[in-house]
Amino acid sequence: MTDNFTARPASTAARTTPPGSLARGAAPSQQSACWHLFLLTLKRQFFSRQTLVALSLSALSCVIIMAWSRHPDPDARKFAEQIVVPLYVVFLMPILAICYGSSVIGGEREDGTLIYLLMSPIPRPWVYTIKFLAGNVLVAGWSLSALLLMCLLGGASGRDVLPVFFSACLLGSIGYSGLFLGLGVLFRHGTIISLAYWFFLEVLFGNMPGIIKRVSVAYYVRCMVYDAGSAFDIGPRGRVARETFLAISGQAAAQILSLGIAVLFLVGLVSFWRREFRDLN
Amino acid sequence: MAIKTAGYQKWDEARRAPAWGVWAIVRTGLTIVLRRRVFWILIGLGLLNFLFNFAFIYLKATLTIQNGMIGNFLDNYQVTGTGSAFAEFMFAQASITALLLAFSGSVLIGGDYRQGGVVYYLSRRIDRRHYVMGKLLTVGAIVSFITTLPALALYLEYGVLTSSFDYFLDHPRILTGILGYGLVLAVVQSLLLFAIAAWVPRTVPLVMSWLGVFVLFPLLAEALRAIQDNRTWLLLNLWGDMQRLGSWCFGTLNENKAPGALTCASILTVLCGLCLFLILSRVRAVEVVQ
Amino acid sequence: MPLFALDHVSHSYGSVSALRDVTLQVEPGTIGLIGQNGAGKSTLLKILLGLIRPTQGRSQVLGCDVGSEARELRGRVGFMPEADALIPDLYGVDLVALAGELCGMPRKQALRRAHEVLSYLDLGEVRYRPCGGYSVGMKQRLKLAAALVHDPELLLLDEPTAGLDPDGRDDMLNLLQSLARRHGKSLILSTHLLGDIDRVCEQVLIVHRGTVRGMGRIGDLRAQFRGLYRLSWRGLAAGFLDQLQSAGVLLRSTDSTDAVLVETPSDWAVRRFYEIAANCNVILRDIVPQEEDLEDLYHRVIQAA
Repeated sequence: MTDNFTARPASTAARTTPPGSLARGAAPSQQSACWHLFLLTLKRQFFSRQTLVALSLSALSCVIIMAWSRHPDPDARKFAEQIVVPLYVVFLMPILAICYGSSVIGGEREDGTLIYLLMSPIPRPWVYTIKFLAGNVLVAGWSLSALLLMCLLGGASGRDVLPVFFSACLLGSIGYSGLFLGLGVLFRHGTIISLAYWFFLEVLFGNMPGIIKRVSVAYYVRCMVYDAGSAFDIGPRGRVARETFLAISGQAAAQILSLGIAVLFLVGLVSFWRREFRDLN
Repeated sequence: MAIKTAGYQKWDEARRAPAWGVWAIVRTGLTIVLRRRVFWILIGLGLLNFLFNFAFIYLKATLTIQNGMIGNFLDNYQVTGTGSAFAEFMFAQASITALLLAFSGSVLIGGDYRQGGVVYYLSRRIDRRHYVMGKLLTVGAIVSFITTLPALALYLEYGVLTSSFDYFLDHPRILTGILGYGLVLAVVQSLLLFAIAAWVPRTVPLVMSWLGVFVLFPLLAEALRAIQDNRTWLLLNLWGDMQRLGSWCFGTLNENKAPGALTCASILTVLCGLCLFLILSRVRAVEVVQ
Repeated sequence: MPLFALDHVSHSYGSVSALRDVTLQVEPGTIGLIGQNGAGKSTLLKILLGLIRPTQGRSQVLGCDVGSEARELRGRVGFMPEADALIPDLYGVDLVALAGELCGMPRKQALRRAHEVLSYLDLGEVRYRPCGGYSVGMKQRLKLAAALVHDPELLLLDEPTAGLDPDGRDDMLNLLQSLARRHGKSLILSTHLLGDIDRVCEQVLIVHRGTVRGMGRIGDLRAQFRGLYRLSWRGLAAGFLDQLQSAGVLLRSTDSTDAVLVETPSDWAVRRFYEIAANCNVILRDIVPQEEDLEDLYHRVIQAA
């Protein structure tokens, strides 16, 4: 018996199939499968309880900024040092990256759906690349939107410092996202490892005097911010603080972060490609 | 007779009161936590501060024996041995272990919601109050293990390494301070953690919520205070409230600066009541039995 | 003493009524609880276990009032839920011992008893493995072990054979039969697999849209109905089947052009088949009375209601 679908001329299928959707019975192309995986990842991550919590945290941050903007003498330097660095760079940006970055692959492992991903005909390096891109789009989108909102709520001071933080935060959020995504591939409890990394290495070691803070992403973000914000005198106060901070130039920090992102991507990709996952159930 | 061939056996002996189940829940909870390597790493990191203080007290005692002037010199900095130093130490311990607590909440309470543990517990001969009490005591025990026990150890070390036991007689308030502050930390943090974990059981959102409360509320309190220097807003900083209540226990609270200990205690009591309401409304069998 | 008795029990979740004015009394033994999804089976189990209070009415299980003595009752009842109600980090033996302790057993006795029960259920070899890594079959047995550890008089089993392979299912049903017949346990078995109920249970309780539509011994329920026949004939059937239907006979299934399974009204006499056949010039070859299986019985009760 002739199958109706296979008997259908390929040209007809091509004419009636909307771009990006699968023709019934026809084998989906690699590109459309990748596109669907990208959309699915975005959807699955976005419509989750994490998003609600991220929304609540962002809202609370905005309330803090609204309160801060009513201070008697707000200025750009204070806004950057008292609000954006401790609230956004140290807390909100990495938390948003953990929220989505670590659960892009880690969530699949936790929910037992990784097996479906590995069973798909999409090559593993492509799967990782798509997941990496989707994770970065979400993390960078959320982080930069939050930054934009915070700076707008901060009034004139906020608008002044927005360009100072923008590129640093873009690189920083992608760096965090790549790191946490890689940890999700490398470790079974990647989320917990990511959180522990952030809490101990970024928050504790990142604020220690000396060279040890150079293991943290926040250090390079701060170097970029201090470099770009020199016009507003943003940076460590006092000689001792400046000397113990051991800042590098903004350009060098950006290069290191970019290189770090590329290395993290490659490590994650190779690991995902070669790894034999034992927790598939 | 081999156990296998014995077949099914009857059991009809006297049963214990359901309150014993609370102890079983606590013991099981601690077993689960201590069986995971990641918790030992976090506990180890959390105890670094304790080791630093322990070594400092030992070093100070050794140097004081060799040269009393050095001891007097170090005392000027009040790094340890005083009520405020112990209060600071316990606050630092509580801050460092925020992540440990978040994970404990995820494993002990969130796990029960995600994996059907609540059904397992509530279908036995205990009430939901026994279950809630068991979980709260487990979290409280972890908090005490990181805050109260190390502080007690330092207090003992400090007293024992002086030339006489006068330190214990001269500073009895420190002991009550450690126990009082420890109790406040254990009660408030366990209730708050349970309430969050019961409503947000998945690991990532739970940790985000817990750390959000931990980080954002102090910032919000400070931002609101600075508008018109109204210190009442500092009550929003829950960890600050606990610290002020702890300082009152140690007898080191500056009463001239608002908010006072009584106000902090009232706020924390209201918070605990709210958490209890949230917990009990979530631990309703109608929701959890599938 | 009845196993359980419900007196005008109703329960609603908001505006959704899960149980409606149920009054019944069930004797000890093995009882199968059947009904569609959302029929009210789980709600009934929760009420029997004292986990929820009915919106209306009173219930008694094993002589205990469920409202005021729920905790004592749970000490005498073992519950095996359908979902994985386990603590994955615990070893099997610890999980079962904890269940015993939570039912009031002293620690040492709970541990000894946990070893006994695990051996009885053939889980002795894996008792020191975290139960999160158990297979589906092992998890089902472990849940049964946790329900049995305190030697309950009544076992409430929600889908005990779900996810088991044929051998595993067979073993589980043999175990349940053995517990009921050799050790005198009463069982309430809630399942969609009617074959399981047919094999293990003596009584059946049919729940449909929050009400009990049928209850009693399976044999007695079958005996209420004797009107299922397989007819085969020679000749043109169209007129014959039409006349049968107009006489109140229900066509249940048509296997071929010359045979049919029919259900007759309660006052039907077999000779009427011959009378109608003669009217239609059809020669009846066979009239074979059919044994009703549990599925037929379930559908008949639901349709009759």
